[in-house]
Amino acid sequence: MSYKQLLKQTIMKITNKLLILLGFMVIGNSCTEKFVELTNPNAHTAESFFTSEDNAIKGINSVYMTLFYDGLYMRLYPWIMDVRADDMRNTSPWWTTDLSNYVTSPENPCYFIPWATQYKGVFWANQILEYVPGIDMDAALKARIIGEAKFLRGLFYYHLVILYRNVPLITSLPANSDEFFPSQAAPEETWAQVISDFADAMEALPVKENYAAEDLGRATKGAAAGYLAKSLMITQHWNEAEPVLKGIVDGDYGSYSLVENYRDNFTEANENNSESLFEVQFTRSNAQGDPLGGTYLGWDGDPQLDWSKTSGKARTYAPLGYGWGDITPTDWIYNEFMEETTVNDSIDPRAKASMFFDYPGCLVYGTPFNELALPNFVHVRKYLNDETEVDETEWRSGINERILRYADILLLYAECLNELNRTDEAYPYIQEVRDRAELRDLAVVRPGMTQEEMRNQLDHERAVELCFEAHRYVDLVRWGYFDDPAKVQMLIERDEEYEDWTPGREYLAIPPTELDVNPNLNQNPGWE
Amino acid sequence: MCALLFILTLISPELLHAQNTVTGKVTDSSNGEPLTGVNIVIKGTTQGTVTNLEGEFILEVDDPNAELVFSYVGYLTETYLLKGTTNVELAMVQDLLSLEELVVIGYGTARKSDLTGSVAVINTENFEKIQASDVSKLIQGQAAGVSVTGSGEPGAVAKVKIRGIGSFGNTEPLYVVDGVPLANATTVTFGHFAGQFPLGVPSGGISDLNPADIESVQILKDASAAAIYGSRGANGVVIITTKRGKEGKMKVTYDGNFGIQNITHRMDVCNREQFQEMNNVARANDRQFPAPANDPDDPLFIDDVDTDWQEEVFTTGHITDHNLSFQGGNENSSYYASLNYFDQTGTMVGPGPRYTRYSATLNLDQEKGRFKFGQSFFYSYSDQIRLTNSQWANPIYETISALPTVSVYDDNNIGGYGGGIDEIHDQIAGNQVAFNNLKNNLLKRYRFKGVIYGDVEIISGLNYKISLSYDRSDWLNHEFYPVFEIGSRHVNAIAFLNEWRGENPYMLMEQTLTYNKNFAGNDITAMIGHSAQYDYLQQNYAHSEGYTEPYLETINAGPDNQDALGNLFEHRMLSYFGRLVYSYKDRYLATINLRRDYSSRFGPNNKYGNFPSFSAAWKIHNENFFNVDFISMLKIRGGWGKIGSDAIPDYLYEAFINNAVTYVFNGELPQAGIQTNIVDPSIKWEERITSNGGIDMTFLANKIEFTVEYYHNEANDILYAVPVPWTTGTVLNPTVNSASMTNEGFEFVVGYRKYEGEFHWNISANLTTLKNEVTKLGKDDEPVLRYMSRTAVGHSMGELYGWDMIGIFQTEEEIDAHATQQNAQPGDVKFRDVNEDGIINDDDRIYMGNAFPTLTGGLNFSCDYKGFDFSLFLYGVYGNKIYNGPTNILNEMKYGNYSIESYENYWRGEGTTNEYPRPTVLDRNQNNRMSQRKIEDGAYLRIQSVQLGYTFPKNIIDKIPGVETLRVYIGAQNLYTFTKYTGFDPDINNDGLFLRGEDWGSYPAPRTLNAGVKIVL
Repeated sequence: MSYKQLLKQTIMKITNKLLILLGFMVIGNSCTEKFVELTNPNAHTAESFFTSEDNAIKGINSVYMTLFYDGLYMRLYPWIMDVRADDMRNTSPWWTTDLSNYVTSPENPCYFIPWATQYKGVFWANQILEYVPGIDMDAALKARIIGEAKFLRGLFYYHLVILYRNVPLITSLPANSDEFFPSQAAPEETWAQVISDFADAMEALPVKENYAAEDLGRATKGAAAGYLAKSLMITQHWNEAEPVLKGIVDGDYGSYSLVENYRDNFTEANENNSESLFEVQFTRSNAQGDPLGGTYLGWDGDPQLDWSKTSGKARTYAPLGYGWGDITPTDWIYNEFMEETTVNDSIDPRAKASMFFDYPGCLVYGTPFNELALPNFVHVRKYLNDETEVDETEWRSGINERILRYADILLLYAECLNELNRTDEAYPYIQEVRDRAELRDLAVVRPGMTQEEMRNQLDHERAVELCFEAHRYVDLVRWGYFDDPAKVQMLIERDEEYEDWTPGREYLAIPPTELDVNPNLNQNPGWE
Repeated sequence: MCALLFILTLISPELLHAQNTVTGKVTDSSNGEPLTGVNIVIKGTTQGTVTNLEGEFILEVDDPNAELVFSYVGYLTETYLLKGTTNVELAMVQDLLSLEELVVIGYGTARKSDLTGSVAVINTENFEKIQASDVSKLIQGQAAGVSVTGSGEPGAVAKVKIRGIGSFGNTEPLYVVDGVPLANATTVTFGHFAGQFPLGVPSGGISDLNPADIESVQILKDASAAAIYGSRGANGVVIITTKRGKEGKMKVTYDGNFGIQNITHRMDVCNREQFQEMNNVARANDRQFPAPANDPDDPLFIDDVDTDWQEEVFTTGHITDHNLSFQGGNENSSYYASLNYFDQTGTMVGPGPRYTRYSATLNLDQEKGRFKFGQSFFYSYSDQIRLTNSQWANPIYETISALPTVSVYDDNNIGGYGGGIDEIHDQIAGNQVAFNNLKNNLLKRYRFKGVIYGDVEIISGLNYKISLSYDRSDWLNHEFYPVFEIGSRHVNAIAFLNEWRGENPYMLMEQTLTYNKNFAGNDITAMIGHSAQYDYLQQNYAHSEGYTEPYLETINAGPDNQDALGNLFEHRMLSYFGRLVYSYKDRYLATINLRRDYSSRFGPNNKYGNFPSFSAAWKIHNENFFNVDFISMLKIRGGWGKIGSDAIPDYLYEAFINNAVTYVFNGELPQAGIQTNIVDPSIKWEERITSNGGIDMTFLANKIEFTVEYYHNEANDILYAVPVPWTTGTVLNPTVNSASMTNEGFEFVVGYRKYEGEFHWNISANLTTLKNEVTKLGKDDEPVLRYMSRTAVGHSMGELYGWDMIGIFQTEEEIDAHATQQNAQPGDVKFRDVNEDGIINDDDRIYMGNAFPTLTGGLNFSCDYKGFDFSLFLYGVYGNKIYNGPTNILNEMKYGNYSIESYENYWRGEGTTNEYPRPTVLDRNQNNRMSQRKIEDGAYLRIQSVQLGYTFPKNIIDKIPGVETLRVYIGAQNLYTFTKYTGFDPDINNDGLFLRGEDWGSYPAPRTLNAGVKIVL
């Protein structure tokens, strides 16, 4: 081939190519479009997912993960509730300082993390409630999954209305981007949704005995009933609450009873026991000793495969040196425990189960209390791994958070009866709780209490039985502590952090950053 | 023309004969190398010749007093009066302002004087005067409109912005090396491995390249210039040409230098006694007893430790750079090869920070007849020991705020280092000496780049060019934490290892067809092209823990909790483009560009975007009517263009199911999955529209140069992850086309040079003004608030934002008289009730300063005299404010040591001060909220570099066999900074976007003193 021939051929080839290129430019060839079509190799797209029974189960499994978030039981929800209650005070240099001083600042995560967490759960639960009804699958399973989603959504709104009071109520998926910017619902409306979700869940869910073993940890009829009753009590629907509470006590929604040893409610060894209506299934490792998921704490953000399924609460609550010592019992709660001795004239065993303090035989992670130079005379013990670990510095606690205990139900039932002017009938249910603490018979030591006296008694009983479990603050608010200047004064005496409280601040501020983003929201009264 | 020149050079001077024969040699004044092809004309005649390969010439001259005119592209034209001489030795001076030199403009070249768009040509000669690991730091201050901000940390990549920023995502320019666009460098942000999104890719972008290999740098600043790169050129384009072999015998060049580096600035902090006194006051103000370590009555009182942490942490660093290059060639082929070793140790104690790089380059070109081929290969391996810090603060914060009452070493602690105990020392403070020594964070990067091109002249004027390139980065980030205990807040109970590995290959094929035709004063160049690109990012992460001493730092050696993650991100682009360049009689010039880009990052209906641009220029000085002697050149030019950008993560238009959202049932993890993001499926290309006009002038035979230019850049449909309310249930904000922004300003360049006589000097200065304004943001213009900065419509990006401090409350009465400010006490900061609603809250914040300098400028001066050369380079910015983190952390009086300033001046009772509040631990008034207390003027003027060099004269060099040139030099960088900023360095490194005015302990640039030698063999 001569040079000229080669050149000619080359020119022809290039001209052809050029024409093809020009062709592309003119008609936007489909080959071109195809070249730039790529699909995400890392995850399925949302459209095709909710079409099968398997994926409906996967979906509901995901909704439970909300409970592991920092804004819920991994750490911050109990911390926020406890640090503002009269049984605990802040000893942290972190943002909870501002929280306990009742001030806010735009970047304080205590205000926005719980908010973001709950709505994450709401979004996920709403996906289930939107898609699962349309899936062709086993009807009983479908009903259960919908019940689980309603229970969880009810729970997230329960937290929201308790924390923030005035919150947007979102019960469906956004149809368009305008719906990304909701306004707030009245608290009554949110409570009504909570109550209806729990009631629906109670209807749909199986009792715990009817679940397969591998489903341990799922929401049960009993759990839904318990939260329904609690919500009715908070909203002072005594008449409606009474039959639900009675049903639980009577075993209509599964069989529940107090465990013999109070401390069994707060250790890794005795999880999912007979006293537990619902608990968060934190796990340090599985049967093979492998960490489930991974070891990274995650806290917040979009979940990753290596997020551990552990709680950061133990490190937060443990005394300094063993954890952060971020929160410490007040003198008041210590004194509440010391008010009464057991039938054997010894300290209430719940005090020792709940706190480290200087009594003979008190061991702090194996070291006698009096050999340590701890910063305070009393420290939290509940939910710590002090018998199994040398300290909490690993930041991985596997202890399940028992967020609803039968003891709580018993005391609520007693309270409900008292509010319905059936004060005398309340005694046995309180005594059931007291008996475990080996306290004297209330009917003997304080017989014939008036309704008001009984209220005060229940205040005390709930404080010591349920201390440091994120319940106390809910009680303070629902009992009107913040509505009565005399009671506010009482709170200040128990915990000087209340000095900075001003009306309205018993609820958290709507996160200032959220207000910046969503002009349809109003700041809570007292925080403007 | 080229061919003619070529033939002429082949004619041996000996073949010519004449009676009045003048012989001579022409060399380059800067390095003594012979210059080939220099035009020599006898003045007033058409007689002349050109120099041969050895730079020699022979010329027959009738008049022994004739004047010879020597001219050569890129050099100053010289006139030589013979005065009877028959042997001429002439050293020609390079013309730094040459208007005839060819400038690479993307898929082609143009004479500098023919440019219609906005192109800055960087004087790469200045590169030899600055020691830096990569080119981005070398272009700082060298061109108007180009801003470079950098961290002083070894191996850290500087941030380059051209004419402000036009995006909320990637704002780095595109680097095109030898015609091939490089993968963009991304800031290394190793944190936790993000499962659904790529983490920061430590592909080094331009930073892996050896600056010594660079021949020329041009910066395309406006769309009319950059549009040929379409969406990839949205942030401007930096075109780099590396050195290639030249015809001639092999030339070996060694260039090496060594420098020492120091951080010269120190923050004045309290010593032990001062700290203890102030801490006791702060605690007393909050009704707290003194901390045991600070209480003289306590057995734990510390009086035998007084650590000066800055002295302990900062140390002298070294910087070493060796370059060896070989180049040469014959008429058919040429080569350039180089080897580079660069090593920089940090200015903090411990093994890191340190950056070491080994690299090699091989550039080959072959030519035969109509065919040209070439290959470029580049490989580099770099090893970076990264700065490590505590979980709570960065190394600079840790260093300055560490407590004087804590000792550096403590044998009682695991690991051997001292640390503060909360309940004894009171404050949270780390030990940077310990972190640097204990934690190991290593980043290894491997970079290969290979380019093969072929060029054929099909018929005269018609060229087809194809280039294939493969640019690959691989990396390993190795992070190991041993067990240690450094006080109560810095405890690591479990030794662990994290390893991230990734690969990021980037493949590109480009073809162009260019046709050039001249007729009757018309010059037309038409080009069409096609480009296809595929790149992906594959990453893996592994974790293992439970290591025991002696530590073996591999994943396998860790007994517990081994864990792995991985993902893949692919990206494809396809483009068609064309360009038409037209000029008439060298007076009227016009350029039209058109490009269509297709990207995989958009949904089915938005895959492509069209990006047109045009520009024109009028060379008035070439008009017949133009008759102003002292003006050598006068050109008016202007242009308009539209570019787009797809610089967002992959797959953002599709919602996905996250299978990591899972829970524990019965002690086991079930399978799970739920949608965790929300998306806008209709996202499309970001759009930049730039308009620009300018005047280029030179005066007095190009001795004085002046350019003024106005630019207006508009960015629309900026892709931005709009913060949606958390009530949507996602933390993954949907990326939408949601914002608009403008950048506008003027650019000025002036230069003067004197090249007659033995003393040559030149000076050039550039100045840029910038006004950035956000014109649309999110759905309803909701502002973006981040830390101390707020971005809102009508303001510039990241304006500082906070409360207006109006003094210190002196008395209770003053507090009562003021608007309600919760928890305020006498001695606390008083804030202004801006909206006058009687309460101080979030609504009382005001804008407190622009994060963008309104003026940025650089000044270069250089001169030489008889072998000595001197250069000085100044750089400065003006008009911006900085949130001064380092000073502020010391004035916060909260978690660490205090500044002497706050110690000496704090409020000590009524009337004592209106500036410094009382010390408080709890800070219930939030004295430390963002206010003027935290903001400082960011203006500075820096003596960026000074260098003095000496080139040995020919007569000495001739005595050293084989040596052609020998130059030695000493210099200093960052010699002194004039500034009111009290932090370490006003040249701060940050995210460059929403937080661009915030100094969160940016690693300061050290002062460097260096010396070097350059030998050409």
